Amino acid sequence: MSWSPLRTALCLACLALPATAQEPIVDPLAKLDPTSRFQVELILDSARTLGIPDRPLRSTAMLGLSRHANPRTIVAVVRQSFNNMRVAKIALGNSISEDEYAAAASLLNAGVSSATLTQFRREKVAQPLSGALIVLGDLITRHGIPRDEASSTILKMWQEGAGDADFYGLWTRVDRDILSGQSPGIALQNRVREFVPGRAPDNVSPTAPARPPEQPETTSS
Amino acid sequence: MIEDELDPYVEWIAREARRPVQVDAAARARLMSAVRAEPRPRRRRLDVGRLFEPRSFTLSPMMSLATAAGLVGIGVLLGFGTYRGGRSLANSSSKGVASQPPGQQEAVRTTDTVRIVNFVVLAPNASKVSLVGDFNEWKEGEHLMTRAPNGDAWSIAIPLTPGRHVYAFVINGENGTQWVADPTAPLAPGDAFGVPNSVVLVGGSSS
Repeated sequence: MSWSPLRTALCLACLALPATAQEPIVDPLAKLDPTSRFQVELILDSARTLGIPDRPLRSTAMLGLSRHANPRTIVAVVRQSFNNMRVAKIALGNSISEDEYAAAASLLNAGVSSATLTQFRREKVAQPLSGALIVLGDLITRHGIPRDEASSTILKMWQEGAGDADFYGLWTRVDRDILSGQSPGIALQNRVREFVPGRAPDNVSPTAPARPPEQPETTSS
Repeated sequence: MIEDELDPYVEWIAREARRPVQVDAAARARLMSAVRAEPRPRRRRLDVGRLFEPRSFTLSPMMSLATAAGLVGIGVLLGFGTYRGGRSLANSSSKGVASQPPGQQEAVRTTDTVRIVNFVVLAPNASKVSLVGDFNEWKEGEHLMTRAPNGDAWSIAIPLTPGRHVYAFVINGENGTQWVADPTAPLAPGDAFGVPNSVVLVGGSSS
């Protein structure tokens, strides 16, 4: 085997290349114009400083980019979400998870007051909160159940020890009743009466028959 | 032998060593002329050509294998160190709570941190359906769904970390592109960009 020192050096350099030539990590927010990106980064930085998770805020910005929204709109929506999360932090205290932050912030978007959120503070109740907040948001936004009625019902269940499976079970049955023609409010009250604190929830079928999409949003593309 | 007896002998040796050597003047001149006749030594310069001259060396098969393995190991270690700066799916802990929201079937629990979630939507007239969400930065086409062979349902199974995820379906068909929420899952309130999204809670609440 005959090798020149230069060829040896070249071969060693080629062997080392894969280590350094990893795919560069591109920040998706780079698609924003510099001013908007700076504003979004500033909001994310503020969130981190306040101990608020920035992942849901970044995801909101990414959703706006995916929807080809105006950069000003994206900044405004991210700022609104950040403000909602700040309110959620004050209302629910510091002992909540990132998921609970995001669920509570989206509830504020749906018109639930911070005073209502405050009642979900986990000082006396150790139950997880995400499932309750998610189902509450759906009952208000999709089924149009009055906010106060839906909030008090879900709050009562949560305080009595209902967990995620209980709330999803309730959601499934109420949804089924509404599809069969009952009014949303009556369906909710009827199904809540079936809840017995401390009893294991019935199995919720994970393979619920899929319905065709309703009122789809048509995009321009 | 004692030291006093040694001294005269040592002194004699030193005296003989100090005596100048008588050199013949002619011999000295011959020597110096011979030295001057020699060319002056030149300073060695870097010979670039020598870098390109082939060299030969021998390497046993075992030694070459060991060298190759060492180089690969260094590359892997350096590459791993670089990649750690990138994204990682399994970066959150699981509470192990089995929560199965309707519409999404948790088929397999792969590790403590990632679960496979099956998404299904009915779209009879669609030519292409994508799943978008916070888990793929809402990139259309990143998770393309596949049509069931004998039906109108489209499905995809993807690994998700435990927790709350927001998502939607992007349906391409005769009516253009439609962004639709999952009709079998709770709606995410606050569709700020004019599109409805759904929520899935994988593995129960984290607290």
